[in-house]
Amino acid sequence: MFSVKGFLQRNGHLKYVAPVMCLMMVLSIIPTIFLIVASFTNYQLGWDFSRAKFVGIDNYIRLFTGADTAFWHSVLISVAFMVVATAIELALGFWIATLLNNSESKLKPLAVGIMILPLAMTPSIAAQVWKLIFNSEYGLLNYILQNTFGFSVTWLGQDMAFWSILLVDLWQFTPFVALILYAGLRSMPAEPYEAAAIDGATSWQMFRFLTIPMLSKLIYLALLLRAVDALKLFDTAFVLTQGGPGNATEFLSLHVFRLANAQNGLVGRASAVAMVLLVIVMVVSRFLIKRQRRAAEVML
Amino acid sequence: MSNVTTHKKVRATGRGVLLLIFSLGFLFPFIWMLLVSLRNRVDILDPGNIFAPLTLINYETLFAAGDIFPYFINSAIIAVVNTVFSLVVGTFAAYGFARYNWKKREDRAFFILSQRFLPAMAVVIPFFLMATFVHLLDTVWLLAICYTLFNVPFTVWMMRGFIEDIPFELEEAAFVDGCNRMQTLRQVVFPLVLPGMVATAIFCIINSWNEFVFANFLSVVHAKTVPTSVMMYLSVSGVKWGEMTATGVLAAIPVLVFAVSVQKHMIRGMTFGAVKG
Amino acid sequence: MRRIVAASAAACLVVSLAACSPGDQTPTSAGTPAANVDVSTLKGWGEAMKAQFDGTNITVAMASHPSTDAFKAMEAEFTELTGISITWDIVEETNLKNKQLLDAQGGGNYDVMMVDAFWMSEYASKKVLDPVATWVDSPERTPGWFDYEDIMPAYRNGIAGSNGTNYGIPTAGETRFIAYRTDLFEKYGKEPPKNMDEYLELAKFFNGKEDGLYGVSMRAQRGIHFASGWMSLMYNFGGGFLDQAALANNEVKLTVDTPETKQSLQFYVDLLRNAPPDVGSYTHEEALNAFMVGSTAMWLDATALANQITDPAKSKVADNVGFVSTPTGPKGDGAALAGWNLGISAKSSNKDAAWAFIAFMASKEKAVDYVKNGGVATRGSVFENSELAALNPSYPAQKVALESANGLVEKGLSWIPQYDQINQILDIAGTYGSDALAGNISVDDAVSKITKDAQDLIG
Repeated sequence: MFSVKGFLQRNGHLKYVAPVMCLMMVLSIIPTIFLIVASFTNYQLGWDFSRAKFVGIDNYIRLFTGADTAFWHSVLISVAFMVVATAIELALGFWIATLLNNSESKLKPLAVGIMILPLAMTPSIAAQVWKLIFNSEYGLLNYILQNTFGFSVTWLGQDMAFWSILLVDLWQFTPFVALILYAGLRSMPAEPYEAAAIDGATSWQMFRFLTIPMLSKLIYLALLLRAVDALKLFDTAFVLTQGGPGNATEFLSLHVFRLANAQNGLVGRASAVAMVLLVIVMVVSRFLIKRQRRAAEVML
Repeated sequence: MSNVTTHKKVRATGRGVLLLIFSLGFLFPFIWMLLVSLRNRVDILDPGNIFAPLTLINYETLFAAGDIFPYFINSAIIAVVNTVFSLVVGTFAAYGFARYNWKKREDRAFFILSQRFLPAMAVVIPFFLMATFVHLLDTVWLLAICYTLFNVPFTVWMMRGFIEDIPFELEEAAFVDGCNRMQTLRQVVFPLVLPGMVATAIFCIINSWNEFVFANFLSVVHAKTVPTSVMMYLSVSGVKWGEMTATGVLAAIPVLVFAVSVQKHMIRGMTFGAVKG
Repeated sequence: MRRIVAASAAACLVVSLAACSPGDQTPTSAGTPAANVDVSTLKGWGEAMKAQFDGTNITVAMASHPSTDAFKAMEAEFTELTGISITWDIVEETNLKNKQLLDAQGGGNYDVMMVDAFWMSEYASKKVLDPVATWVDSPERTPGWFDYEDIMPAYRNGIAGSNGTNYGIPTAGETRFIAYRTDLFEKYGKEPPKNMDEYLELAKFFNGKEDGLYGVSMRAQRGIHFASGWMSLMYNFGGGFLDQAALANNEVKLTVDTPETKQSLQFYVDLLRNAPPDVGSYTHEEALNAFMVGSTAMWLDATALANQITDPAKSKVADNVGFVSTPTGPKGDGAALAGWNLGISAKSSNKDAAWAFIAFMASKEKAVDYVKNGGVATRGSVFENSELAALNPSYPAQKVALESANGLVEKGLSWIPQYDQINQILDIAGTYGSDALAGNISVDDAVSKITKDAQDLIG
């Protein structure tokens, strides 16, 4: 005979895991179903639901046949941004983490405190401040450039906008990566290094064959968090350029926004793009999570 | 003085200088925000005027109008409620994932973590409709619930790592002493993962304190949070830079104070349980 | 829930007031104020409202706009007079529309909405607002001191409704005009532009003439801003997005690829070559700032922003600025007619109290206070008020500009085509227009892409 108690005893994890599973189901399954259904309709924001019609896979056809001229460009720059931002943040973050770890200065806690700042600043306001700094006419950056080097840069213009957004992203998240890796470096045991030094290993060899493997789980973690968040990037780009000039900075999430927000209100079409974004995010995160778990198991 | 020590000194100085440069780079937008918040409007658009008179007028305007206080109160309630809830529920789940083994475990873990990666833009419209349906629209509770969408997965992920790093033998010893699982959790596991929880808490707080998209769409008037105050300052007649930056400074202070005061725990916790310490 | 509590609380109050007041005062929710109260004065009206609505709270959804600040400044007096308290939701423009549409879809939290003229046709089709005639036509609800007819006809008929039905009361109106630097024009012996050719010539002349000086600044950020900036000149070239004659017969016909429209886009792109290099990211905000810090010799944008340019606390060029109407184009005048309205949410459960708010805030009686508090004029009586004209140096130029905006009305055109998907068309137009400005595609390509996408949208 089936008994609840017996079932729970055999599945001991349930009482720990079930609440979270239920919560996440409610919070994510219903919106996801809405998204899928909406992506097959011509629904617009503010319509009665009765006004919406099913249009089959028209919304997807529009994306993949190039009728939505901005779509592939959005995919391309989103992926490019993810790769470039993650790579630089990881490299720079690693460098700063090493500097911090090797430094014996009494001011080190201060430096760590400063690195928390970009995370603590409210992004919606921080991005506005950056917009002020970037302004080509009355911004601080150009003022400095103009007066020291005699030239100025159109930071939010066609050619530079992507890199300006990247710069803000680097400012905001490099310290985050650096702090993670610094924490990892600090807690590494000294013995392997001492042994390697006795064996005459160069510092590059120690880095390559000791530090990196020992930190691999953390490196993957930083990679995962940064890659996915860079893929989803919204606030900064929205405040700085709204996707422009032209469609120079219309990342996927901004494309979703441009289609779905009140100006257009094309919720149906936007849902199709959101589905694509969702799939890309899931593929990337699944891949990285697997690698991360494997790295963790190797370590244990 | 020997060559080696000179060399070492040079390198140490070099590292110091590099760190200084990086720190200044990370610091400067905050400093600029602070400066803008202390200036008159005419001077804000003139970066060259470094010696522009400083003034507290923007803060005075902010306090006199008083509109911003409810925003701070809402943000604080949401951050605290959500963080406490996420930590409790998340840590339990993390324990389940760390200490039990079942067939679909990794799939379930991925499902939970994947919630953290849902693009807010994609789910905010259905959320609005759901919230209307259950009459939670424009309440702080709704936002506190929504933020579990990214804070609970984050907590589960972080805490799982920390718990897996605690040798199971410690728990076994407690079992032998007659503790049941809950007692073991309370007396053995929690004390050991506390630094990890502190680190997790900081990020949960930062995430909910700064979240913008949900807060913007799911609040009407009663549940507005600090990040959405930007919308108040983007006026047709020009951005109210002074008040906006003043709000930005005030919003950063509590997070900074908290983060710096637990800096030691935070750094230790940021290993995400990955390295035994 | 809150709403129900508030409503029942209000009902209780009304009942208790009715119980202790003598005579036949039995206010009903749909009914008129008590007959024995004289609403022809603000005070009498206030008493009538108080009897009916004391303790009611209404929620108003407003844009961050000088008008909103002016309304807020009048809040205390309104609440004192009528007993109606106000909850403000003040947000940035694009976002405001998001929130209003979502509210109309399910929330029902808003009672009064501040609505951009651009949204009127769409809102009409989505039934977001109630027609205002119900209230305007009622002498009890709208006493003589409100004076509907005093609102400039151009605004009353041009920006407040769709297809003959008005859904809002215009509270901020604007056309567009040019501000120019009198000091620079004097220094180089130039006259302000009268036609489009001169305008372009002058922009070219001043561009780079002095260190860090550009010819002109206008709004050109991708999407609606670019489209809106383009529209400030489009009709002067005889262009347009839609065939408005056909539209009147419910026939949607695009006119984006006509030679006139193409010419106007070419002109706009050529003109902006003489603007600061990042003009492609400018909204009205950046365009205004660029002019106010002295980076450009000319500026063409909303009349409603002029008082900032003449305000020495905000503007470095306040003492050296002149205003002229939008230049005449090959096809005459066609300056903008846009602005903001107050309307009543169709989902509101306090519509009469909401109307009381509009009646008070937008009345002729309070118009002078409103403008003095920074509100934007829409009433004839305000433009004729000499005291206010002295405070606003740009009023005479604004009046002339409004007359030039009549050019369109005379041609039977609405500056904003009254079509429910016009905003989506504007977004498409502003997207490819911005591509053309960035040099990614030619103007010819831009108009054909706009036509293609807009056609796909219209179906």
